[in-house]
Amino acid sequence: MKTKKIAFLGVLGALSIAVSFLEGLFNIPFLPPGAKPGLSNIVTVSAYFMAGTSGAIYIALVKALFAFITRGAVAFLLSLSGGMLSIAVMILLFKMKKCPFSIIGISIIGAMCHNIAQIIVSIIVTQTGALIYYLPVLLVFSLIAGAVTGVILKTLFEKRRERDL
Amino acid sequence: MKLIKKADIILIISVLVLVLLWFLLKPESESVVAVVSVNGETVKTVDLSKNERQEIIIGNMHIYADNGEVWVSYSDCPDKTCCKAGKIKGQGQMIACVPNGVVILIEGGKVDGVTG
Repeated sequence: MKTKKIAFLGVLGALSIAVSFLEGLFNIPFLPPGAKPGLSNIVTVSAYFMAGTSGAIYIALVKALFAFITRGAVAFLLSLSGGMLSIAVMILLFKMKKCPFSIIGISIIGAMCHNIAQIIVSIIVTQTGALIYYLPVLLVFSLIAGAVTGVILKTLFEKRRERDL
Repeated sequence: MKLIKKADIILIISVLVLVLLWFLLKPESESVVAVVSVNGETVKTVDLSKNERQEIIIGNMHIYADNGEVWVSYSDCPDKTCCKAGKIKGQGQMIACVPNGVVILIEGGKVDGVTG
């Protein structure tokens, strides 16, 4: 890895932690308990475009480690599973030659994958299949969260193109 | 790159329709119980139709049921998502404390072990 890439990923890693932390501070009304807008996914997707697949995986790992330090092993597993599945699926969609979805659709699918992975891990950890009933509510919120991050990502990409960064 | 494509709209509508169907097809029953399970095993079933405060203590978790509502007042878990969930009522709602493996689910159906 080039020095520039290492430094750049360090900054992005810190940014993703800061965003996740700030999100956790506020109890956003109407969101179901435990659900978050997932704004740090903006950082993960940016890392993919600026530093490739390894960059995105690195950000997901940093976020999971932060969850482990601050909230324990279960939070680590939830963060890691959600992060990994969502970036894997999103990268596959970005790499498709003719992807039918725009950045908004891809963000929504990413958010849904995040929730699906976390529900599966929660079911395994608690051995309670009934947790699946929580998924429909989370999927509806994924639509909103994914659309919001999608719009922000699109604005980011356009600004980046203008400034030719 | 277009902001939104046809496939995006199809995706959004199909998710909404599926979720709507899920809620419409869910059977409703009159009696309501809160089922408390630890690691998948039901440890307590609480009748929510009784208008008296009931306390359930599981390990270091304090769960209360009163007036048709269930809530977690204290838990030793690191993230406290279960406490932040607040009071739940109504069938299908749940509180999960993943670190403790505890799930509280409101179900319709018979009460088989009333606890006071």
